[in-house]
Amino acid sequence: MSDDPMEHVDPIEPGLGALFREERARGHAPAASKERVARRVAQTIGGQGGSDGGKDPSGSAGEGTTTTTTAATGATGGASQAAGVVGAALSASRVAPVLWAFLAGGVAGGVAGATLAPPRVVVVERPARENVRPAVPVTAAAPASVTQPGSKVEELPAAVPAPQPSSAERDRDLGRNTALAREKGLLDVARSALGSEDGDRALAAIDRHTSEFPRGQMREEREALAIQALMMLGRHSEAADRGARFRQTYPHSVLAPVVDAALSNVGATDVRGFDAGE
Amino acid sequence: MLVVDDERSEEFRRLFDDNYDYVWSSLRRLGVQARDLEDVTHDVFVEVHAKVHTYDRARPIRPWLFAFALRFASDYRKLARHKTELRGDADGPTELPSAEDVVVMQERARILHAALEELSLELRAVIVLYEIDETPMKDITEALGIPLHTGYSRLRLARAQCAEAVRRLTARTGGRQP
Repeated sequence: MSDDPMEHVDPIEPGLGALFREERARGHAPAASKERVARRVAQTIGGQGGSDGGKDPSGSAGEGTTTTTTAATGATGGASQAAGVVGAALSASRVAPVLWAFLAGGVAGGVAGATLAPPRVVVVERPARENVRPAVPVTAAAPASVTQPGSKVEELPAAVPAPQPSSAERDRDLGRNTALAREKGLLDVARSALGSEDGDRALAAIDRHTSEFPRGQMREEREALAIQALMMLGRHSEAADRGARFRQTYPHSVLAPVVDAALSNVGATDVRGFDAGE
Repeated sequence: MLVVDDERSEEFRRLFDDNYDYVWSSLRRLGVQARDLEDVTHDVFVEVHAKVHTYDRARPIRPWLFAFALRFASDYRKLARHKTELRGDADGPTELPSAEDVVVMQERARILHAALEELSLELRAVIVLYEIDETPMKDITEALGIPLHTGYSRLRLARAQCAEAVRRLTARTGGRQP
């Protein structure tokens, strides 16, 4: 039996899993695309250095990070033309020799990823309860500076049109998304309260969710949060009972590791009702 | 005159070389249309070049890069002119042979991308990282700055919504269930 909690995650539907596996094999950009973008990146980096009096573009976070899509977009339409224009631009003395090296070695090299290897194979640590913190925007770890894509979008032909949903379908989807947003908002409050060690407030938000969405799309998340809140409040017996029901209702839940971690804080894992090696 | 030290430039060159396909594919999977992929990929790498000194070498590089791609894809999608044409662009500029099996594969890819397009970007990011990139959830949640619980929750929702969309899209196009 492995300690990997991901073994208890509900496997993805076979059909959907097959689609993702096929998509995984399609992760290659056209070779010419790589060369074009390499030249444009080199040009942009060189342009930044030339325009800011030689400041190191790494600078401090948020400084010296201007991107130049607008300038670069002019080279988008035709590859060979773009290469010519960019090549001429690169002849300017402001581009440092290291960028020539970047172009010469980087594009055609195809160096295997010896130092920057892909992510490790699935190994997820057992989650600790302190991992439950208020959610932060997904952009928190992302860069601050943003530019807009190219300006010629409207001039290009449209993609192959896909079947459009009917108005009834759109209305249904809209209503579902609105309800989901409301559900998510309530549970975010609970999550945030847990992160602040405020079990009472978390439980209040969870109760409200139960009242408003007894059969909501996120009731599985609600139950997992409720178990954590009860444990935080020292109501271990209630948490164990609820944990047992959680395991019965969602025997292969992706949230099982989170629930287990919460209950295991007082050795209450037996409530799962089945052996971990199942 | 541009001042760039050789070591940093070499690191960036290697990073670009090793991860160009990954960033390009991630942007495509996050909804950037084929015709804009080079523009947005360019923007991502310029930004990565500016921030490469902040990369923590103890962590895997790709989730870190994905966070850049996610940010740029998010802003890309906010542009109104892209919203009406986001579907049906599954295979990008790659030209494929016209054999029947390839047509079937293209249709399956189109359905998957259309299904992903129905997800919110936050759900889409998690399912792309988990199901396609095979990134461990711990690394996903660190890269996206979300609690582990939230990561699992988004994965569950993303799977359910994606499966429903695939079923519906498949039925609408008269195809077989994948």
